[in-house]
Amino acid sequence: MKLRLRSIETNGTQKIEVPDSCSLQHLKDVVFQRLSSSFSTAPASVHLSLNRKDELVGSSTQESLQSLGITSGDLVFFTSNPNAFVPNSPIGQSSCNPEETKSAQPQNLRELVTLEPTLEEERTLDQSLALGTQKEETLGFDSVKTEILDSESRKSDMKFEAEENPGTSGKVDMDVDDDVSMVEEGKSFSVPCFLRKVFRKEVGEGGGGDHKLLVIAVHAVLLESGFVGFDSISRMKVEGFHLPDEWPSRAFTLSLWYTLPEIVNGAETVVLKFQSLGKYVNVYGSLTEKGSKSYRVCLAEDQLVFFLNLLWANCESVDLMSEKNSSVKPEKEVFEFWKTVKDRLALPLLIDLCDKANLPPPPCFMRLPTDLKFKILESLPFVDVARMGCVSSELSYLASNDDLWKQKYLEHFGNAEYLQGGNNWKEKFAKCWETRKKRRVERKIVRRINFPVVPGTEPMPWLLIRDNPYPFIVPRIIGGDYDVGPGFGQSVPAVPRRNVTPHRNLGGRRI
Amino acid sequence: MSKKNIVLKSSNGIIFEVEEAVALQSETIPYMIEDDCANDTIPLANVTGDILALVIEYCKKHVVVADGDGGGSSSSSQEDLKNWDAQFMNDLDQSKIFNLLLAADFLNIKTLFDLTCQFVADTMIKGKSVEEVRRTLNIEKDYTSEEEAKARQENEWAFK
Repeated sequence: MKLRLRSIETNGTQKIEVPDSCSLQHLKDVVFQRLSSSFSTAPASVHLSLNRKDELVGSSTQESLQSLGITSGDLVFFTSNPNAFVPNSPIGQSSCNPEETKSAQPQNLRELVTLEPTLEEERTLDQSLALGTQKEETLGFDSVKTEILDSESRKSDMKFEAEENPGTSGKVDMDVDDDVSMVEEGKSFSVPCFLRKVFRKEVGEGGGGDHKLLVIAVHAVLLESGFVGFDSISRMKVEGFHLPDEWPSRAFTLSLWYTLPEIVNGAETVVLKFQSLGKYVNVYGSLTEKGSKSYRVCLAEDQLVFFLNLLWANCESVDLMSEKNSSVKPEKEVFEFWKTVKDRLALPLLIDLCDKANLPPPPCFMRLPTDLKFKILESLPFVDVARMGCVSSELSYLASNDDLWKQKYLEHFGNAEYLQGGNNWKEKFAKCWETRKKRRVERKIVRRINFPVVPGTEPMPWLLIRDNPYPFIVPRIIGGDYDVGPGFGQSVPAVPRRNVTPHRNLGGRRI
Repeated sequence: MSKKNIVLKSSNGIIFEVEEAVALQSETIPYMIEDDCANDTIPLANVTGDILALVIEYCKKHVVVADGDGGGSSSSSQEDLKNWDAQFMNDLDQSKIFNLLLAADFLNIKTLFDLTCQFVADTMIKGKSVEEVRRTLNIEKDYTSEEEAKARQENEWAFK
């Protein structure tokens, strides 16, 4: 339906279009987007009215606009001033002062809480984008993927605390606006379009209750990964899927089955189980067969649904956010969700299912041609190459490749500096690494016992400890006692450490 | 110089028309043009439409910058391009990334290939524990615990 929105403060009117099944909450989210773009305030919540006097309050925030009597073409007044309208519903509070509302009305609490984290998050996102540092990017990536409930809830608690300070939130919002114009030029990826398509198809009458929207979004990821829905009772593949009409509002569990188009009669299937825990929804996925490996993602429902709503709203009215505010990024947030579900749930399930049904598997690291795997190993620091060697037997083989370690060796130690000993480059590398590390330690020890350092001259500490405490042991050539040992990797025999002091070797200085 | 367009066709039959300069960032395509001069359309049997679209997006961006300021040597444009690359990769999920890697390899687009490899190394492997790597890359643990302990011992020196 088309609506006109008029600001109480400025009298400016804007036209928007929202889905017919749009809920009050949905509309407020949409208005909020508008508000932040047009006057940079940070409303704790959006207040709507049809007649400038009485505030629109539904019995629940999910109540559809139609049930509130709003029809296409209506003029809706909005303001961020909590005292501008008088609430006209018995459920509404006597005052819309945010403090009171928060304590008394759970729906509004949700609203207050979800709106502001958005800003905070977007700001962090923008900042990290603007800075473009890899570290922050990675941080953001990981934080979405955090699986441990504890840390996640702790994190968001902290966030909420921070946001309850109204003084800062105003500033935050300004920052968002400033940053937004600088960051990226509305790059289009297909995820939002696909999601919208699925939403349009699957969200039936009555709009998307929170769980419903989330479930459909996960469903969309599975579809995009190549799965098709599967009815476990009739044992038929299904187009779309039918959700229960009645959605339990609080804790719920739900199972959905999927198979692949190539699998005849759905002989092999995977099952997704949704389980709601307060603000979070756990999604478990596994092969239907008992005892299969199970994968889990944990989604923060409040935030996710907020963004999904925005994303969806955007589709119904193309120019809604496409002006200067186009990069306030529900897309971004939703995409993080998309990536998490796809990489953590859909892809492993697809691999398992293909394996089970003897189908060619999707590309994944282990299916890459060997030279590509090498190329990736080459791009890693040596510590990670060594760690890759512990991951699986194939990788253990690849990660001890001689050429690979030769390259690492040359990178670290320059051209053949310690070309002695070791049957292969990995052993050589390990030796040089040990030697170099030992020197560092020695240098530290020597400094700690405070050898006089003549200012301006580079101290050569081991010159001072050069006297071999075991003079009758013939000093080995350069490589220290590793040359004595039977080979790399064996634990070093408990010879007194001094013995390994490179006797005449000052090579360390040359590094 | 008149601008020549090249038509590329993905494995699932989607047609892309791009400027020659864009397509020629691939070192494979010139050979295909020679081989297939009778037909204007170059079929890429190994690359699906969605991935080819990404490859072209990348090539377009890079060709523009290279044209831009005298070979694209100015530091700001280099910087921009780097940020763009990071963002470009960040917007992909894992299966797209591996498909892109395969496509870049097949089409022989060096910069894209390096970018993708580095991205995989940095975001999926670097700094992660063995268990995390297995989970991220969906790698089956095929070790017995003794074998695993042995592998760990062999690589112990690196973790200390």
